Amino acid sequence: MSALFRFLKPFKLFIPSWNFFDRIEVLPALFYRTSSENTWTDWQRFQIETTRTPLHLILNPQENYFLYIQSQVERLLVEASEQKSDREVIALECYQRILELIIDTAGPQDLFQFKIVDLGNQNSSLLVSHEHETPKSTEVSK
Amino acid sequence: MTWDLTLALHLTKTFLAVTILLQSIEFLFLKAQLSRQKIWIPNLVRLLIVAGTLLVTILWKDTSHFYTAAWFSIWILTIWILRKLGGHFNGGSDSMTMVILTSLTLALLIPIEIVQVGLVWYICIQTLFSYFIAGISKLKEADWRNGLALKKLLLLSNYNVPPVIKSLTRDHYFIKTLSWLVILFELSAPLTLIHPELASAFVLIAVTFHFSNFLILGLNRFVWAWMASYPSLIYCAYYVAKNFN
Repeated sequence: MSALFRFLKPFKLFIPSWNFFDRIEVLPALFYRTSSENTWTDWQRFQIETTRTPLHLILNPQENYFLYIQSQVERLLVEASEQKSDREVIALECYQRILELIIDTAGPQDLFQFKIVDLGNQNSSLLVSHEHETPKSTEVSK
Repeated sequence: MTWDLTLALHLTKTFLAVTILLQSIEFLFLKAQLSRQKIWIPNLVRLLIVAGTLLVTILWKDTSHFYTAAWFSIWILTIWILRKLGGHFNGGSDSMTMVILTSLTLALLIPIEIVQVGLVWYICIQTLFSYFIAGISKLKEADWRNGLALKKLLLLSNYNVPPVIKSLTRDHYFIKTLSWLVILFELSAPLTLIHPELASAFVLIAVTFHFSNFLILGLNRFVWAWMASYPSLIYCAYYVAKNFN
């Protein structure tokens, strides 16, 4: 029974929540920066620029992928607030997913870091990640 | 036109197959981005099964055990894929897809009329909840009632909102009216069960609403996922009219 519970735990699909856009208090956005030879880049916002066309009504993979990342960011904010230590936060699946995304987006670098800011509150930081060294440390057990 | 259970289930199967087919094709375009999630093979298998299932559905050849097995496979593969993605890929549209897919699969596995009627009602009630609960949640928020929440959503959020829509947010009365229209539309959902014609009118407005959400926020998956729920909604309106009026 506990194995079944663990399997179903990630699924909020079976218990739908229909509170769409009920509270627009926090508008989280993902920023990242990288370091190479001891020089950090400026913070860059993770965003996908697309020009929407009628065809996107049928297939809109890039925007949906961006919304997927955004949902991971929102989930991280919720789950991070429930953890006791930084180690637990780093171990979160959504934290690792975001880190993988940054690494995949930025390509090979010495260090990676991301932060989540609130666009609705003068870009104040909601969460700043540790500096992560190598892509190897971001491997998630599948 | 009278909606019977066979027609409601047939249309649900058709629209749901289209929905899942499009979702599967979208994943093909994201092969590089989602390579770590290892959904490539299950998604490809799902794509092939759902394409065949759609064809069989359109041809009204959907009575064999193979057909039921195909939907069961789609259900298993969808759960597998979403689990690999951490529970969901696109929030509400995944939830609605799973509500309909689970109900439809059960309806095929248990071909007893009363069970099937119950499952169609389950889809209908979840569809009504999807609007009504969203409406109640917004009504409770002062920022939704005064238009500020919608303004923030359109101006500051991460959605790729077209500039022409952003410029409209400068008009406070317009944005406040729009907020109230959204709230009232969502709260009106349960009224659809009063009469089938009300249900049809609601569906027409709902499709327009979701299409607007696609144009403004890019939420294309919601259009298709909710489309698959409307046959149940209309069937239940007819059911109420026939049995209670």
